[in-house]
Amino acid sequence: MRDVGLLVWLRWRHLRGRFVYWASIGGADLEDGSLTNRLYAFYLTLIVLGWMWLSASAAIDIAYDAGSALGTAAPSIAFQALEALPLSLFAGLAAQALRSSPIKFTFAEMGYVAATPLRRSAIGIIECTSRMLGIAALTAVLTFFAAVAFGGAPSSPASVSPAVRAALAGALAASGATALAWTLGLARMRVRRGRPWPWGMWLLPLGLPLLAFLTSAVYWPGSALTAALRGSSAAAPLLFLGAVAVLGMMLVYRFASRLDVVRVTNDSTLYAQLQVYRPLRLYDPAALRDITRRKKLATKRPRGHLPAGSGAHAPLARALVSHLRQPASLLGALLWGGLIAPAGAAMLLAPRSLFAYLPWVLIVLISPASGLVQVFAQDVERPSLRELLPFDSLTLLALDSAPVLAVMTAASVLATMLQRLPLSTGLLVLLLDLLLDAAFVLCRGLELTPLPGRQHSLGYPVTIIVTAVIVLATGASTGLGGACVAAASCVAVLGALLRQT
Amino acid sequence: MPVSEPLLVVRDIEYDYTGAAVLHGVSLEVRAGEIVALVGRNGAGKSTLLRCAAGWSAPTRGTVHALGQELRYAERELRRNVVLVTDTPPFYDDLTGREHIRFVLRANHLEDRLPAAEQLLAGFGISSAADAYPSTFSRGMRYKLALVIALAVEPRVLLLDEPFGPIDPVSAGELWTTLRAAASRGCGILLSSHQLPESALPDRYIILEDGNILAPGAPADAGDTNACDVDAILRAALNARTEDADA
Repeated sequence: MRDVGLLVWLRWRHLRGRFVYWASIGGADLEDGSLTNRLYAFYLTLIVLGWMWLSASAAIDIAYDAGSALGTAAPSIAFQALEALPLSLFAGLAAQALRSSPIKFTFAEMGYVAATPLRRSAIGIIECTSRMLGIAALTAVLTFFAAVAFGGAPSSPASVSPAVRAALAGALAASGATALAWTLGLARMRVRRGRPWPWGMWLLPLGLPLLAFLTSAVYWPGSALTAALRGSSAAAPLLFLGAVAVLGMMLVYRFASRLDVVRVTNDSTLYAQLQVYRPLRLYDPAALRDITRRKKLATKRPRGHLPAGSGAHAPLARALVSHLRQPASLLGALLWGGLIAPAGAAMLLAPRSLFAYLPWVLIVLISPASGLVQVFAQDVERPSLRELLPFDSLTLLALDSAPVLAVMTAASVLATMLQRLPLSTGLLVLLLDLLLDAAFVLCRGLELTPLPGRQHSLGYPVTIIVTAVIVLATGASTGLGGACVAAASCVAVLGALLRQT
Repeated sequence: MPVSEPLLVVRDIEYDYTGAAVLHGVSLEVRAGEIVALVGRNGAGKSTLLRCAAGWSAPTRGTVHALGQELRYAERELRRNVVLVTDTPPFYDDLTGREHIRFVLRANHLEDRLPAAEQLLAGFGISSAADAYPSTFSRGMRYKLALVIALAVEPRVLLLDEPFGPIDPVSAGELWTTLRAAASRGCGILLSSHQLPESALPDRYIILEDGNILAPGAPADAGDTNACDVDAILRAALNARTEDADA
């Protein structure tokens, strides 16, 4: 118990630190005990509580209205989904726990927790509880609003109680699912001399919901959850879900006692490395995604080999091997080539007012496009290597982005074929798709390279909005042919600008 | 030391960073076949000077000429002949160390230098590790890989920022031999360093302090100064400046 107490204290200190941080963002210094600061902290607390109360009330109203608007069929679908929730949650968490250690240490914890004689079971139970509380809270909110939406209007505190009971059932179901999933993960991470579990084991739990669906098996925890939601019998489902959660925690305690902390530490390396970048989640999620991608890539064995190729073929070969090793980088090309560009071209098939194009322009503006020039970005961000490549920026962008452009072209061709347009119209739509594809890549490329004599580059929002407005305005007044001419002109200008950099 | 035309001419460059001057009218030349050591305390402006000399940073005033052309407006072909290895060289995330070398050499139609590059890899002791991503390398290994790439291209001007800092003593000796061999083939080398291998004897020292050159072109073998003792040379120059100021 002493170890559990120590670890709880450590968690509390972390939580307190985080609370102090968020309070400081709100302008309150909790470390400063002066009267004015305390008064301000009190005022801030009132403001935040008031805001939370109003937000919760508004959310309840919205959930109720949404439930009423969805009609009579919606509750049964929602209840079916909720019935499957505990099993699906267990399957997802178990797959995660079997793939990589459920317990993760930061670098500090490796030194001050893992490398100490603290009891393994204490570490396991505290880590599991910490994770369980987060998941249970999220599920409780979900089931609460599901109960509000499909269970009736919360007109008085008494009428809210079924929803609260449902939230409690959701939290207990999620706790049980988390604890049982962790049990599997901890069983894999226990000290043993024999062969490790096969790597593909983590795929097995993913088949559970499908198996349950195919065999029409009864989801006991799910049924208990929906029973609590319906309010048919108050105590029995809650007792059952609570018993599952307690059993899960006992198993966690049992299996954690033989935890192999060395293996856990090995599994935690990437997590620990990324820990220092976590604040970026709020300020710059794209940067965090990029760092995570790079760190994950560094942990993998290089896939394939750099194909042979001299001169201009060398960057092309590099681009190919880069996408082979990071195939997810081509998903963006599929999205832009198969959906966004064809949507823009298809809008010009019928005459519309210019305001009708606004949503498409917004989508073009906010959709993640950095993956289109991922290889080129690596070149320009590394001057020591860029200086060794004897190609101007336009040529290098074309070579680096050739695989992306090929995927975009294939996706655009497929999207055009699926529209079943007359041949002449289809060809014009396809041409416009391809020109838009090229424009997207060029606009992204221009953003990465400063213009000659200037420190700054032409930002993507500027170039893409100007391009989109020119193409759409021309297309709206002159048709697809005019849009193609306008798009070709934009591509030529963007290319000429990039060549100068 | 062979006397030849200057490969790199830095003339009266000034550089401002966030309003503060980092370099004050610095001028220097590097000729073919010579190794020039740039010596100075932290923050003296060595790295900034090297970045300006490589054409990576544009000086606020003054010019940089390499091989007779102003570097700022030079074609890519010329820029390939002026190579800077920074103290923390960056690499692609998705190419292995060996693939970096192959890629750069192939892009420049220099495949015939692959065997020489392999020899350099072996000489620096990173041949067996070169099939992994550089992101898994230690700092010294990353620097060695950057050196191999730079040396394999055989540039006319080689600029090195702290080359001996991150690497082990054995590799440092190997590097000095390699640099001397490159210089004998006509390469001009300007390197900044706080420490040199024992056997190293640069052709000239340039001492930089607060963005000014204190002792331009001081010969390595001047006076009683130990040619390898960068610390002693720097202290002597700083003391001389203090005495001048007092006088």
